[in-house]
Amino acid sequence: MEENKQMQDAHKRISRRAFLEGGALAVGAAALAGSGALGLSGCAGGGTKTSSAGAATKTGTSSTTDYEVYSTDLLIIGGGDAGIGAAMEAYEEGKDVIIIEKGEHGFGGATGFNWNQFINFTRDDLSWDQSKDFVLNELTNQKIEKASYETWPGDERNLMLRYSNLGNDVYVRKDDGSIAPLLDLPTIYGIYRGFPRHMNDCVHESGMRIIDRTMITDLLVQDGTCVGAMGIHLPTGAFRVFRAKAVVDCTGASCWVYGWSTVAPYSINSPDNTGDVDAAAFRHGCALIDSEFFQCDLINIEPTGIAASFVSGIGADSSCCEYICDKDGNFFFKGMDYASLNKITFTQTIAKCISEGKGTEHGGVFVDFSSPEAYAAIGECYLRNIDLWKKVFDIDVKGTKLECALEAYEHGGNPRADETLMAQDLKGYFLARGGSYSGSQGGTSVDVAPRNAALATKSAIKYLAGASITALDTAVVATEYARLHELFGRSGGKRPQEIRIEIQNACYNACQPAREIDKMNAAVTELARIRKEEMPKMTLGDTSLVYNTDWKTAIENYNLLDIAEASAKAAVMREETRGHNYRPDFPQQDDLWKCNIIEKYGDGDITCEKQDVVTV
Amino acid sequence: MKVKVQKYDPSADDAPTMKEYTVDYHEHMTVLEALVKINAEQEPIVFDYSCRGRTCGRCAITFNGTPALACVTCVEENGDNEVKPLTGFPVIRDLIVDKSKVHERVAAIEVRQRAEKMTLEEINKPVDPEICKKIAPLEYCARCCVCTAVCPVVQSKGPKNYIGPTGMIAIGLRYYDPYDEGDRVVQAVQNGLYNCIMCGRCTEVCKALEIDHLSVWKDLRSAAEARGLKPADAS
Repeated sequence: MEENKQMQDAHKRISRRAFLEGGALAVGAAALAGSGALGLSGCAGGGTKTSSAGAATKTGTSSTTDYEVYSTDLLIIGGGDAGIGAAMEAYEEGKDVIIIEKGEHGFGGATGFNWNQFINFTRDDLSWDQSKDFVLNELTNQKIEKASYETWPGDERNLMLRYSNLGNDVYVRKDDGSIAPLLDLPTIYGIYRGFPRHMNDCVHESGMRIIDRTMITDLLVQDGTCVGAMGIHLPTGAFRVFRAKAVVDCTGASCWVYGWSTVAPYSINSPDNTGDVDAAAFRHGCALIDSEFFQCDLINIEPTGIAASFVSGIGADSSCCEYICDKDGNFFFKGMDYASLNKITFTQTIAKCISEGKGTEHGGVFVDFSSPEAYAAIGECYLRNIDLWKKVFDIDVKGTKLECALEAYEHGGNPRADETLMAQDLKGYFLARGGSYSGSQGGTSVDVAPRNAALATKSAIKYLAGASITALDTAVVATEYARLHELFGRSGGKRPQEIRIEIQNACYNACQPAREIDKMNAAVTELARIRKEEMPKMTLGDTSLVYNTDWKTAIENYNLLDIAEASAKAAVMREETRGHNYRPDFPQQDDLWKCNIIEKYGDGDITCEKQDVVTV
Repeated sequence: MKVKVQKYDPSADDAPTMKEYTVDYHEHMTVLEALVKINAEQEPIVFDYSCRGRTCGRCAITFNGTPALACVTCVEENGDNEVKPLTGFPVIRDLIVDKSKVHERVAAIEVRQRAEKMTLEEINKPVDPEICKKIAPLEYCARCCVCTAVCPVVQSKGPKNYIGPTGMIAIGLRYYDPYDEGDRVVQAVQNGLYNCIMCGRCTEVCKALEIDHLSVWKDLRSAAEARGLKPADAS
């Protein structure tokens, strides 16, 4: 009690000082009595990008610590495709916004890759259920899909126009200079050359407050309502508190959980994608949903340094499936009706081949580029990398059989949302992806991410009109601060990098598309072992507060472990073949499983249950 | 295989130091793979990366004295394999540098300047195919700043005299952009177009293999000269 009172007093002193200094960023510190007592003081953030956190003090040697406070109407966590959509929506509405980015702004997550995006959109005035919208499947939450689809009516839905106004160039053109779409159907239009870099630049130049290189470690939840978030400024280790009337989670899929090669999981995604905010919401009582579904592509796994990297890799998709063969050289797609193959049946067919023991040494298949037709069919996104492979690795793909595996570029798991995209289980917390929105598709895509984010932001803006910034509960801040800094005091365990790979490998064994029940059960057991034996002893090899990647990885491991366990248990529970997965023990899709699976975070245990699909 | 890495924690160290590690080599091993391996199996070294494919620029370092991307540069089994932070940028910790000042300048340049919003009618009008061919390669600039770090003019005279190839590519992209209404030729000259010595080191280190930097500078110089904007003291 005395500690709380002192913290409150310290906070008041600092607030007064911030006031006297005209609202500029002020740092205060108060040493608290009592050995080992956690010292906390606030510093009011004037809302500039500048942090005054200076020389780092090593935790455990000092009982004095600082935290910075920032206040805004709307807090957007994540600066990717969704974060850009959310930011532009809020900007149009003239709202006070802070955007938090884990990397340097413009360079974080997959949107920080400067890649040639394929832009496609439904372009006419069909209703949502006739739209052939990307995510529609039997498990889609139809209420969310309807609301999302109707967020941008008419020309607003035209992403080519939208992105042109955010700086995109001339798109792909024919020899006569006319525009050259790859898809030009009555319902869907699609074209290459959408570079996310331009949209990031527009956000940057809009004057919005951007706070980057900052990792969110927890949501700020008071009286059952989300009133902000907390985290660490990575370059200094400073603890930051963000108070807001509403929060929009734009952090993207947690694909970094999906296995491990030498520098990355079997995923094109970014090391930033560790599910930090999803996992925080999960621990605050938000049920996760659709975590058993990932979305996959076939791509190289060697050279290992660029394994599963979309932007330097070479792979194949359903348009050249006749050139894909198993380890014995059998072209197992031959004889199938290629026209009926979609992304899901393509992945399932490969997963079936692998689960029948016909996969390659590293759990993949071959793409036979010794055939000139196959070489000619290399997709637009991979063409650029042929010269890179020659120059850097002296590898000429032409004439080779390239070993490729299924990488997960998206994950469906997300806190469940209502049709306004507010979390069903946490008021004030909005979700750009929206759990249950994508059903068995296993996550959304670059095409719907900004639209969903716009819906979430519109809803958040309506919500915050009736919300206010509540008094900061310093005990909540102290608890999170203590959770993070306790990690410095441990000894005798494995370093976080080693434990992270254990989590990733277990998750891969449970969640890769060729799903074998014995391996899946073993993976669930392994995750429980890691939680019980490895996590409590996890030991940092670095005591500095300055860009401490051991510390960062340790914090992320708690998030990855929760996401892995939820995903693995849901994968075991779903006794059928659906989405990108193939289960040899249940090789057919089964209407008994025409339901979503949710995961709940209980007292030391994660449990799964069925939930009816939400229909209109 | 030996790998030497520069270490520096500004909260603890007076100056950077080099540390040598022994790493098991394998064919096609990248610098990034070596760094991840040392960090996971030996002791913490601090570095950044994201895309593993030369599009995010976060793993830019100096390798054996030359700026490079760790993700698409191979180590040499019997080489020096000396890894230092990217030249010319403030070091945050070990191999992580702060490129934000350059990045802010480049982002501000590359935002399209226009009086009115674009329309679908405008987008659907034909565009000179030669212009399309000039724009497309420049889109692949990852702003990794490897070119700016290797540039002898930036490194000797500072970015105030010459913004460096990273910024000049952004100016070039908008110079070619048929929808941009800003005066990019003036901007290029202001940012040191004529201070470039046309040595081509930028193209040598750039892993966006489709970019031919000097051809862009030449187009900008021709446009400047047509308008009499070539500085009197330019050679």
